[in-house]
Amino acid sequence: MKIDIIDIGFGNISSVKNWLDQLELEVTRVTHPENLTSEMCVLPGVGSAGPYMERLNASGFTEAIKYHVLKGRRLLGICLGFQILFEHSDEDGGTELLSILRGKVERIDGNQNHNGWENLDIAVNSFKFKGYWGRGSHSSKQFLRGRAFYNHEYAVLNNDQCDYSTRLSSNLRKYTGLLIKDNVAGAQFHPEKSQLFGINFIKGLL
Amino acid sequence: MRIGTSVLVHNGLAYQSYNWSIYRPLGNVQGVIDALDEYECDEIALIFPTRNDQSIASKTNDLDLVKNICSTSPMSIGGGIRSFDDIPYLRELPLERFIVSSAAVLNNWKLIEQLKYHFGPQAVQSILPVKYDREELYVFLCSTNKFIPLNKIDLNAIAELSNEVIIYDTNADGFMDRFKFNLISKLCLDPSKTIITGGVGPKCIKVAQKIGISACMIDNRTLHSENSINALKRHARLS
Repeated sequence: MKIDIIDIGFGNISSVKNWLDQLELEVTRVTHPENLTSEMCVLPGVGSAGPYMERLNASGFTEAIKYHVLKGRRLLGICLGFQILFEHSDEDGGTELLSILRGKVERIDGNQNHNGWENLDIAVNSFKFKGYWGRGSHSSKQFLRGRAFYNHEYAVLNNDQCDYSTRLSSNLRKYTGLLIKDNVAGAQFHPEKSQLFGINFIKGLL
Repeated sequence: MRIGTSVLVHNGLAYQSYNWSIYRPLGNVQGVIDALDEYECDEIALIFPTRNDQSIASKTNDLDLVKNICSTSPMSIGGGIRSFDDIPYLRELPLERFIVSSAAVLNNWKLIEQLKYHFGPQAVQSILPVKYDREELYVFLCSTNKFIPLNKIDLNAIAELSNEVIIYDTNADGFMDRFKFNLISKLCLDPSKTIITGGVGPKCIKVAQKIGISACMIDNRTLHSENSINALKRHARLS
């Protein structure tokens, strides 16, 4: 199985590649939009929305990502890569995002930082019914349980009908931590830095 | 509350320290990281001890080593991030956060803003190595290799611009349960955005949890089973 990692110079590409390499997949760092050809791509993101979207737009990846999704190919957004799938972010004075999903991104209530670990309990049956995710190619686990690492100041307020989603945490219930809709999945946490859970997560997701 | 560890990296090897001056070798960096991954360490801070005008960009061997580290734990790096010229070297590293010391103490706000621009506001931590001397508090300025009085630094700006502030009790460095919690009140820091290190042990973990500290970084002996991350997390759970 071939996976592309979108590399626009922002994002923890090395960590994501190391994480995916553990599954012995064919992983390619894609720096030009015309090379985005795999059935599945990962959109990592570290930084803030404004500069990230500027770079994405300037590189031509904006249209390539939208085309990739339109063609029914799978996309996994991580952290800022998850946030930019929505319509608008309040970060950097207001930033227009990809609008692949409906919703917005705002500063976490009370100007909190969400730095730390949260427990997650995901039932694979909840999202595998459409055939995009949870195909069982790398894991037959029906439940993905463990803890995931978060490090962010802005969070997603989802306004889209989705196949599966989880809350950010018990204290930050109005924000979304994980979302799956058709061929698009997004995680606010960093699965590539979530130790054993992160590895089981990607195995269960594929 | 997160429980992590700090590891010094110098000339390709990992160390932990005593008293801010004596280094105890731990061995191969990847080997240490593998053990900490196995212990489910909440985060790992890799510190390049940097004195005088050295910058991180000059530590090419250590940077190459870090670039090739394979870890599934959150990691940060600090030591010698001093100018805009250092930023390109940081981009290729498999890390989530960057720790500044001299830049914070010397009011280099432009550098901190640039780090936030490239890596996000959640990615920047400031570290203040502090010591008491006759009841007065001093902060270590790595770029001059000297301690300076606390009143010479703009602590409010550091707290404002950093996602979190790390207080390193250098008097207690390497010892068990000697971290001085009155440093938090003396520095008037928000505990929920403060990380403590230097003399942190099981009793400190309990106190830190009670006052709402963001994270504890264990500075020594985390590879010993009785002082391991797992043992210390048990202390936190049972408190």
